Amino acid sequence: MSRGLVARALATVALSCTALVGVGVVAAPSYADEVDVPPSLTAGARGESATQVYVPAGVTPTAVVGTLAVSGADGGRVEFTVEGRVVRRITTFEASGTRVTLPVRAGDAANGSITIGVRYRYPEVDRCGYLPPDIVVDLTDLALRYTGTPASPTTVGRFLGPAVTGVDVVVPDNPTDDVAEAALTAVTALASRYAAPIPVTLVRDGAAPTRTLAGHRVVVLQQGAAGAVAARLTAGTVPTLTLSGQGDDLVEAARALGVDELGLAAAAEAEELGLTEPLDATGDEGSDGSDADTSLTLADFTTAQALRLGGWGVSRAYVGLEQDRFDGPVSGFDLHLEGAHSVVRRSDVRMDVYVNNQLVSSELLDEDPDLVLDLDVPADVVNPVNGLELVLNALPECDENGYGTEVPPVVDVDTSRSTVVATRGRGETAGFALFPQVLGHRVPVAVHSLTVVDGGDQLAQAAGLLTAMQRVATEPLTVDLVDARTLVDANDSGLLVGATADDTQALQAPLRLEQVRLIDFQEATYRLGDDARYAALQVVQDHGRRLLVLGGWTPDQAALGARLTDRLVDYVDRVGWSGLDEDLLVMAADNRPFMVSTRTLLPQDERVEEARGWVWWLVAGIALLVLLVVLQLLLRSSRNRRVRDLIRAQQAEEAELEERRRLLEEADAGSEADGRP
Amino acid sequence: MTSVAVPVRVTSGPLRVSVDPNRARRVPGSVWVFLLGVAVVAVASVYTVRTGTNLDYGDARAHLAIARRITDSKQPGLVQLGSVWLPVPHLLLLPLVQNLWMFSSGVAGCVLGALCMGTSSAALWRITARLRMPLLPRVVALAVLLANPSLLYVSTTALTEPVLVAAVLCTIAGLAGWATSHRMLSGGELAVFAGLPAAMGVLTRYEAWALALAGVFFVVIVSRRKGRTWRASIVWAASFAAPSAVAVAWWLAYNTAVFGNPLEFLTGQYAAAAFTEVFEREGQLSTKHNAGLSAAVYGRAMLETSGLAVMVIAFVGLALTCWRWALDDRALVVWLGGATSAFLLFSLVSGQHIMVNDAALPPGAYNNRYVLSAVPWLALLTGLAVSHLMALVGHWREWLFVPVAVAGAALVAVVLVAQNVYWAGDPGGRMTIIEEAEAQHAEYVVMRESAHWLRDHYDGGDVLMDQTPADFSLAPDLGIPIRDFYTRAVGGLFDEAVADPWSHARWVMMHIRPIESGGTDTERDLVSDALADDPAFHAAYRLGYSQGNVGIYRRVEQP
Repeated sequence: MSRGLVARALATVALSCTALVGVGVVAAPSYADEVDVPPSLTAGARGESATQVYVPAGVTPTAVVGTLAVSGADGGRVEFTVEGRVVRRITTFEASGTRVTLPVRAGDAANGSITIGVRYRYPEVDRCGYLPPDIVVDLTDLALRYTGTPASPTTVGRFLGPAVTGVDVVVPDNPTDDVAEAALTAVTALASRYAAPIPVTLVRDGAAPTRTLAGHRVVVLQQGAAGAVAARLTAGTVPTLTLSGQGDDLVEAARALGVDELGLAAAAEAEELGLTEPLDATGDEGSDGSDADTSLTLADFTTAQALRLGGWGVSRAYVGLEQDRFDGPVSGFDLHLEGAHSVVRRSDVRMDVYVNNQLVSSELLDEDPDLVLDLDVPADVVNPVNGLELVLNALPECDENGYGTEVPPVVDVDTSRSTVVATRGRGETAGFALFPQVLGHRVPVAVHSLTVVDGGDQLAQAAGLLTAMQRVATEPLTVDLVDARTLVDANDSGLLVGATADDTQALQAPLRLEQVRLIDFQEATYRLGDDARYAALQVVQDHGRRLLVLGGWTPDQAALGARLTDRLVDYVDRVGWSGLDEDLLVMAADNRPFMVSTRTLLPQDERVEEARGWVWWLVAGIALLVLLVVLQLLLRSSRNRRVRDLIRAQQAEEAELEERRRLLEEADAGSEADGRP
Repeated sequence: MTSVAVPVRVTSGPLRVSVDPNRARRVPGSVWVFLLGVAVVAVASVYTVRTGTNLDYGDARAHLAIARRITDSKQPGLVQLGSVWLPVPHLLLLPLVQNLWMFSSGVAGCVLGALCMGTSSAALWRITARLRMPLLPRVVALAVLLANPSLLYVSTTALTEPVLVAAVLCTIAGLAGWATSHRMLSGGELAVFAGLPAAMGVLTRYEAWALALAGVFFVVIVSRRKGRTWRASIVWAASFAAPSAVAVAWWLAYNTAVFGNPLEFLTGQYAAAAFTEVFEREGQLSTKHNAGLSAAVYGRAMLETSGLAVMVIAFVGLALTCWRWALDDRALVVWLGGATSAFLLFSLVSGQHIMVNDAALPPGAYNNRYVLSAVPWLALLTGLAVSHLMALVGHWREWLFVPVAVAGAALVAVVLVAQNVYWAGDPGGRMTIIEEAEAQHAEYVVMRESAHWLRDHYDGGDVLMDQTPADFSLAPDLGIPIRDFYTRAVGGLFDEAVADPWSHARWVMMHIRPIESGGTDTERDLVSDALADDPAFHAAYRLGYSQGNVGIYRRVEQP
């Protein structure tokens, strides 16, 4: 080999190394592993459902696994495709679900992703009037199996791609307020970008990455110089992006992690990390009764231009209508569905509309191709996430020879002309289900300590709850880190972590963080006795605002309460925000969490004592009435005394007049006796 | 005492020298008002019977069953009155429930409720006449009473509150008539017109005992003011109290004869005290010894029953009454109306009973209908507010007398309409009595279906069933003569049937799994306790119907 060639080779190696600042690529041995990936699939009796599974760079995919559940099937088979190629057929189904493995070739991931499809093939029967079964095929809990060593990204722009399988957000042990706020913002931004089950976790500096699987990332936030935020990429077992900066700049840089504009940073180091274009306006004031838009189209809820149904038998189309998209809670909807359908002359074709599995409309289709439906969805049907399902039931008419007389019907619902107009209000939504829409996409967050105290990390707990809420929100949440006292005294809805007994007292919370007992039900006894320590997440209604309050109690103020709180947050992460019910989640020392209504709490001494004050209203009312009576009696007494004095004066005057008359008469009588005139 | 004409200001209406028609025994319009009250409840009953909501309250179903059992039972007789509730409402229902349809549909309760509302309306009309209120305020008071949806709803059920309200108002009307009569009524007249209604009330609900006691003091005070001696005043009071005393004595004698304990109604296992003891043991009796919380709970119940606006206007009426009438006889008549409220508040503070609503700790919906006894008082005070305002303004500017009357009446009318519109928007959420009815209705749906199944499949042979648990209070829905049932109410016969069901009953209806309860025995299903885990029973009976925890079994018989 010539010296020139060696020199060029060495220079290439050197250039490669300088693009990876810090520790060089650690050559790890090849290994096999499995990582969860987000999408799931649902298919009906006809058509195919497909999704993309992203493959981290550097690894070789070997299989995609998932849980198959089929309901309503009567024969037929389920086919799985990889890149359009049928890789497996299953003819035996279990409604409870079976784990299936779909083999994948290395070449299937040529573009960094694999297209997985599922479809149901029903038994073809060449007979007029035969209706395919109404079946539902679900492929969930998808995971990617792979071998090989994941390759680290070489530029900031490629740090967060679609193949990310988990992110740790690292903060110092004693962060400043802006670093802490940036960390929480980073968590919500990443949770907005990556759907469950991709974990987004807040950890402290020095802690090992929570996972080392392919596609895992670490984002470090630290105090830096004022001005532009510096971003530095570090290769290693787990690729790490370090953001250094201060104040709002650091927070905005953290928010930028949630959008694809990050892709413009095409180097291992970048400054002024941010957005080349501003995000759409989010975090508007919208809280209860806000002025945010309440009139949307179906196109705001789905990417499909039209919802299509067709064919004989039953066909379905589903759209999720999240309350959160209206920037606040709503109590009802007016649906206007507009579209067209094929002409139906003789056959029996009916279109049903369900909202949250409740039938709200049923129309027979006829020769008029226009489809116009106006529906009112009342409060008792509305949920935080509402399912709008259109179902076409088509029964063909057959002639005497057994042939169909019409072609299968087709219905298209135009999503841009179909509207959803919401009515503001909470309806029957209550408790945890009010979140996150009641926040209006802006979340004031307060923690009592930014450092780890007694083994409890309140910042991480806040991050866990924000992640769960973000995953059901339709837009990124804007986090404002505020002082705990400020949040308690303010009028805003928000999140309070590390709440104390004094906080719950000031908020008049239904559960004061003191000892508590629950009512024993006949069906279930919640083992929470007088001295039981617990952690609790509750919804506090305080003069129209809604606060999420997380805290714990131990009888001896021990540190165990903090660990219980961590486990409570882990539970929320596991079940998801949609899995929360009622308005109180309690984690007792036996680690069995349960959800109840705060109305089931037995009255705590503090609340009972507070109620004693009401007696003063009763006393004041009685005192007022007594005062009025006394005043009237005094007035009457005074009047009666005046009357008596007047009577006495009159009597005295009459007596005097009588005496004078008597004296005059006596005088007259004496004069007569004397003969005087 | 010297009488002299003096130029003093008369503050209580024009001085009349001729016989005041409001002080005569007959009060014009009483019959029409009675008929109006009956008609209003009759209209309300059409709705509640058609929807079946007149039977939502378990207690209402129980009252119908108790009344029916007096004549239709394996052990008929007055012993079926029991000691849980006072007897008068059941005795009044007795003739009405003899018809199986009227019993099953609950129409018997509607008829009684309508008659009670008619009586209450007429009594209130007479009270307002005795207080010399002008016509328009009297109409206002009547309107507040008749436009109360909670009271109207309860009047279509077989609950006891309508009877209490009628008895209370009749007692006050009688006392008001006696106090304002231009001639001295005899002791017998006082006993008849005031004492008998008081006795009816005393044997209806315990709140009336407080009214009877207040009435005694009222009679003594008014009698003394009329110049009677202490001895004469006490005799008057005794005339009034005698019927109530006889009623109480009869009740004690009944308890002694039937249960061997004159205070069985107070201390027995089915007494109200036993229930509150359970709540106290569970830590839920937070109103006990807490006057503030008790006031808040009671106030909340009044708020959701009568409405804030009526409460405010009524308070104004009470304040004006205190200011203008102080403690004269008419004021004392008004204060009589508050006796039941005072008693209930005292009961809450002393822990004798429990009331639960959104202001309670813990919150819920229970026993709020007790506050209905305050509705007539609030109605009277609302009318008085208008009356006093008319008088005050009229004395200031006589020409304003009529306009103020019209304006006051119009204001109350607007308030009543607005209030009812508000309540109609969400009855279950805004009226605690309806909330409780809806909650019980929701819990009762399964039971009602089970009862109807048994009704439709029963082919004779008697039924063994413990109807004491609240969810098994099904007699009206069962629609089967009660004499076909072995229930806890038949005492020893029930025990025999439980011990040997095969020989006694072809059918058994019970909870499939025994009810585990830390409460009183009224919550337990004694049939289920004995037979649920008995293999011999399950061998001899076949489960023919089940839903939830309810099972209906039929004896396996040779064809």
